[in-house]
Amino acid sequence: MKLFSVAFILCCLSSLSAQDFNNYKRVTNTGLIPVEFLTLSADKYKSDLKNNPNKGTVLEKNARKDFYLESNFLINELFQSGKILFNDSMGAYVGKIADVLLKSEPGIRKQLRFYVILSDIPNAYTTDNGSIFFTVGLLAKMENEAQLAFVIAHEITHYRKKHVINGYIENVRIDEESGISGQKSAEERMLAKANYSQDQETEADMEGLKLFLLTDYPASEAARALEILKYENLPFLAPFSFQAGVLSTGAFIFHNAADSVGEPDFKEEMKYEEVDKFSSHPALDDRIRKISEAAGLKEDDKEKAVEPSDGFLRMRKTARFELCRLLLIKGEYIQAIYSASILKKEEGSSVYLDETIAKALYGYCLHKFNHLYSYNTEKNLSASAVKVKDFLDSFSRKEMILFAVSYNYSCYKNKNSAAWKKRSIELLQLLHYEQDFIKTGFHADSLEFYAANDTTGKGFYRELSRLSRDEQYVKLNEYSKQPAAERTMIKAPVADKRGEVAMGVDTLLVLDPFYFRLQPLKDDEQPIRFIASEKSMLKYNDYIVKSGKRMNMRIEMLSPVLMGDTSTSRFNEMAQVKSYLEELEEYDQAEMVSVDQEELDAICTKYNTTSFALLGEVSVHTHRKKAGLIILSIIVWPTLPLGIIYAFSPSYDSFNYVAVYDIDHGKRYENVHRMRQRDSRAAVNAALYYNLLQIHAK
Amino acid sequence: MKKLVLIFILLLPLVSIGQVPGYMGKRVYLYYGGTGMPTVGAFFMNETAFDVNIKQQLGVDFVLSRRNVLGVSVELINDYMILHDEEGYYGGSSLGVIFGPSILLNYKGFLFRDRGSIAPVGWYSSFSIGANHVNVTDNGKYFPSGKTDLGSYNTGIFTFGYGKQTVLWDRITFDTGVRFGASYSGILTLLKDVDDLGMDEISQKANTKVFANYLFNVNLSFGWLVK
Repeated sequence: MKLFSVAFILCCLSSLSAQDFNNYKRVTNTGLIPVEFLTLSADKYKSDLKNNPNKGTVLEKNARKDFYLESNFLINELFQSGKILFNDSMGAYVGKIADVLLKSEPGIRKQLRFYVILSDIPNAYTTDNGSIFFTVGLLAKMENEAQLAFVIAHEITHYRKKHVINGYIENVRIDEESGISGQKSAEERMLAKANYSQDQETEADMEGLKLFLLTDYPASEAARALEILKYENLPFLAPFSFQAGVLSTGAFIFHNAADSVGEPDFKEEMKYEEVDKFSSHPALDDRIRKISEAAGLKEDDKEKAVEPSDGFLRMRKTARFELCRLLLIKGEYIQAIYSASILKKEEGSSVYLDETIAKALYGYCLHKFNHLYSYNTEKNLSASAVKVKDFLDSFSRKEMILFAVSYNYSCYKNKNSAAWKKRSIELLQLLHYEQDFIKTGFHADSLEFYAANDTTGKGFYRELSRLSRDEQYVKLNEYSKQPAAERTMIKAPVADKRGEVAMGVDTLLVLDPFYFRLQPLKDDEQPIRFIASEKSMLKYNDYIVKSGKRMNMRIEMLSPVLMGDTSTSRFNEMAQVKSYLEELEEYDQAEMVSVDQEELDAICTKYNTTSFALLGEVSVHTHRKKAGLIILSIIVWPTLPLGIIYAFSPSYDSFNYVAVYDIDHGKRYENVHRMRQRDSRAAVNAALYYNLLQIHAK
Repeated sequence: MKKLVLIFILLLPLVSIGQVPGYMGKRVYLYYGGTGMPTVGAFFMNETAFDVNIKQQLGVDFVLSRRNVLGVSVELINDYMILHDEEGYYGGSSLGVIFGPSILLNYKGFLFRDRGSIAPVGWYSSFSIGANHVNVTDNGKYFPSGKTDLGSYNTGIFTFGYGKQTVLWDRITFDTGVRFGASYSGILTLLKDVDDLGMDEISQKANTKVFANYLFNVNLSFGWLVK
């Protein structure tokens, strides 16, 4: 009975966590927050110093200490950024492959933790403390679990051989021994560092290959794993080329181009790789050649591809769906349309993929026709994605906008949500500028006439005619012409004569405040005082809460340093809002392209606010100009002792940063308050209170 | 004095305009401190360089807005001055006691934009205007009846200053600064012939002493954020 109950609960849990790809939701963290996400970097630093014997020369000892300090702080920043997933399906799958690789070395396996980074750039990173990261972009690109296994084996070798810390120490040694004494130029030092790093990469390839060959995976996939990295800008390889027909909607019926039929030829996607002697990695061709030689691969072997398992395909599908969302956040609309259309062809139709295309078309129209330039939209386009761009560029302006309207309106009809309505209205308003006939009064009869004779274009009149028969669309179109429907662009609240604002916010959701204490750069010092920064950050969280109480403003903190291991839902909320703000910051808009409005609304309802804030403090220790002060105090000679004390005491600049987004009223307030003094408790509290008061004041 | 009170009352409505009410909402603070400077007396009063001329201060400041603070303070002059006694009662020269309060209306402007000061924290410049009343007596050692009044003097005073204020442990204000000032009668004494002014020696010395007291000072005070 017990067994039955356990099995039943497990079934329920698995069904709960199973992804519905038709209505795909972003991957979220589950279970308990791992300890290393919540441990202070100062504690990790102390632990590293205690557990790792610091042997060697003075230079090595100092470099090792610096490494532990810097790496723990930076890795903590990453852990707490919300961009690292924990206890998720993709990370779990990577862990399973690592289990296979390290079957005979359970000791090493126990030391390793595998995480997935929400980034579209294909990459993997290893840390000295056993955390290994894989990006969504990399997982989406892999063709089978064997290729993934080789990448994992490569990263495990970096960990086993202590490449990260050794590389750091070597870089310090190169700078210290040859830099300061001037024996080598900057270029020579860069080359020495690159050579060392390339040797490490080669060692990771060779040792990783040995580990990989202990499994049943064919050696050819090790070379293939590197081969596909050559398709640098292509989100992933697929058995189809871009086919315009997939994008058909309403009366916009597209036919596939002749060159899109049959197997795609990805040769044009291949990265032309110059031999870069300063690169941290050897050239991919060299790496592939060495691996092929070491594994004794023949040409025939390379043709034998491993059939991906169901588990891998499920993991990769998640990664590819997630990739679409990440591309939207970055404003890579063309790549997003390409990825979604390929997935639609490969995986079948999906509401999520249609919504991705709709959001990307909305973003693309704003980018093209509304002066909201997104730098990433046309950057690093893969050759395949260029076909999407060429296809979209073949539309006239009004055709393009109506095409986007069609997609977005269709999503609005399906979901009936405010966000889709807003997007549709905004596009309709763009369309009004294009359609003179709407302003002059366009008769339904003539529209039908145009529609019947619309044979040369993309189907603009046919689609307009189709939509004009839809009552809901007609109402929406009429509404979009009214002033009330004006776009709710995020704008700064109006400041009074003193430059102060009053946003009237009663409840504020504060996200992961930051605190950095910087010091002047000397030869052997870090610019950031890591431990002092972390200590100050803890206090700063406290100051925020206290200031809120003092002015009767309710402040909800979504800060990892205030979370326990069971605060997973709060951590997810923080990640979601941060991702939203990241996009908002980039494009200055109230209706974000990528945002899942339902999720955001749920957070707003839970905390009873639509105002989110990013707060932070940066303190910079600067050098004081001494001469003027001393001369002045000599002139007013009784102040000489004070002048000398002042001249030789350290000088500081403190910057208090606040950015508040009131998404309901479409306001954004951003302020950096600079105080020319040390970041004392008084100075920080005064600036923080001043900034918060403007948010709260009515 | 009535005028000063009137100005203070008239300035109070500014409070409703100013948006930033002090340090974390606390806008009133009481303070106590000292202000003085050695050596200044040496120029005017034949005193030694170690005569510090300390005046005790007690005041209250009110933060009107992010940049403006208004307050009143009382400063007490309690000092010695060297008297020259032509009639010989005191043996040629002796120490007199000068004692009396100054009431000042103080304005602190946290106006240095590049320093980002937010009242009451940060760098400020100050301006004070007020009245001073001092009594001069002998030191009580020459007549069995004790201290003998030698005169009472009133004058107007003003000061300009520059300083830095901070708050410790969210409660205690700590203020340091320098201040330059003068008294009305002191200026007259220096500029005009004493005979023309109809001043006797004690009057002249008392006025000069008050002038010297306000000429240049270093301030140091601690306060308590009340509300």
